[in-house]
Amino acid sequence: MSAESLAAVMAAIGSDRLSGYEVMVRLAKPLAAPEPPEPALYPTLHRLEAVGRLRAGWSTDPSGRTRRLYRKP
Amino acid sequence: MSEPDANPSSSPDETPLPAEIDEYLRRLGAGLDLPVHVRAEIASEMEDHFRDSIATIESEGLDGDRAAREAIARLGNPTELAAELTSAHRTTRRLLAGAAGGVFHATLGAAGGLLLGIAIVAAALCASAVVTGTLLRPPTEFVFAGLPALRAALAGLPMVTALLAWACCVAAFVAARRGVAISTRISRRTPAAVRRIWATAGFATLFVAAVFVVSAPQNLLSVLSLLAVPFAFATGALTSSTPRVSLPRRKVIVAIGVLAILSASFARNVPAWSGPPPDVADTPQAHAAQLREFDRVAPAWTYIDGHPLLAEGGGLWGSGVITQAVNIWDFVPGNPGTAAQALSLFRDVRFEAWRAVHFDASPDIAEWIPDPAHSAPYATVPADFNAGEINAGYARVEFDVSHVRTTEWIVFVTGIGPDGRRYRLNEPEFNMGGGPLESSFTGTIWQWLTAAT
Repeated sequence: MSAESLAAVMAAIGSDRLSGYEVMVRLAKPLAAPEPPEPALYPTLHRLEAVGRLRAGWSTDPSGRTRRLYRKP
Repeated sequence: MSEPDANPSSSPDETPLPAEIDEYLRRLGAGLDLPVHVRAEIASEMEDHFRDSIATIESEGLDGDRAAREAIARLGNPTELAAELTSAHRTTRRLLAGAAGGVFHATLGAAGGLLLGIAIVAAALCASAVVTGTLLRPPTEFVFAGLPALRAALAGLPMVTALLAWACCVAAFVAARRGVAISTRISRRTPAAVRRIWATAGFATLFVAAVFVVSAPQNLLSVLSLLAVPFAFATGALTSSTPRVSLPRRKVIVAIGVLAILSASFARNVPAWSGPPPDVADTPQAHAAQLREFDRVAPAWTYIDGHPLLAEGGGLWGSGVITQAVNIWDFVPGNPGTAAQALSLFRDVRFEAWRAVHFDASPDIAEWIPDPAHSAPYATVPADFNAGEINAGYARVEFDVSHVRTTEWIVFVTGIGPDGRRYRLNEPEFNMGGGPLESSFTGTIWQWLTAAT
């Protein structure tokens, strides 16, 4: 993923705590991409986490569903 | 995804995913070259993604099966995704952090393991003392009576080195397991790769340290014990998480091994079961045989009634130094006797350190004599009876024998008499009660291997 795409992912997350799917939804709208960026999204999120630009953690919502959420440090 | 227990908690009442999704997740997991707990996290995250994605697609009008296939198509080839995810996790930063974290926790593990090892060795010592002092007393006495070499191997300071090495084996084993576990978790490398790296690096480092760096009292037993430390580390690293022998069984094997070795070591300290110790020799025949062996050093020069000119002054020994002192037989301060006058006729009076060996004077009697394999003393030092350390009738010597593998010594005093021949002026047996001066080699394993015997 290019530097612009990395910046777009960071911008999409903003100050929120989002799952990978939610990040993808936010990215799809402004980019209006014909093909959603799903294949590259998760490796990008994991790489950003590995280098310390994102934090990730598990959260359980009221319905009992466990989700992995990303946020900026 | 073979370890469901490592999976982050999923809601148990969620509807099952379509079979195509399960197959996708299986192929994704198979392609991930990452530790189990990371694979489980990724599986859980992707499962969550599919639930959201399918729900969205279904809201756009597709039925369940078609929605699942569309969700899969959007996420792409599972093998390629697995490769990308694996690459994303293996950063240099995590590698360095894994190495540092592993070393840190291995150090903590080594400290704890050393305490555990000392506790095991101490407990084994106590158990061994009880066992060899009661149940095994006759057989251990029998073995040690017939195997003086084994007694020597288990005697003195090198035994301390061996005991500490055994404790270090436990420490190395624990440290390696802990280091591998932490390194794997942080670096996100596969356990197999991390195990190989830790086993190789740890073995090489500890082997070099054991052979070339650690300096301690040595004999064959301590050398073998120290060399076991790098092997214990490699074993701990390679068996981390997947022990080939079940833990209780391995503990039993280790306990039995330690007890067997320590039982043997304690047996040498057990008092005789019956009769006198077999190596106490004081019969006239044995003594005469011993004196004949002493004459190989130099013929005796006797003073009065068969007494030598020089008498016992005390012998000491430590890890690497033997000390011997002698007195002039009838010396009285201010009134030197005839022995002192006789001694003044000798020149080049010197101490000679000879290697000693056990000498079987008869089937039941043994003595210590100069080693027939050596025709010259290991070292000589001039004997100065005029130094006046206590009085003019006394001389003392220290030999540094710390770098010689020989552990038994006899010290003679010789001098060149009026006829130009060298004579022996003392009778070492009187000094030592029949036994030799004892030393132990002190140095590294490499120095021990390359040292003179």
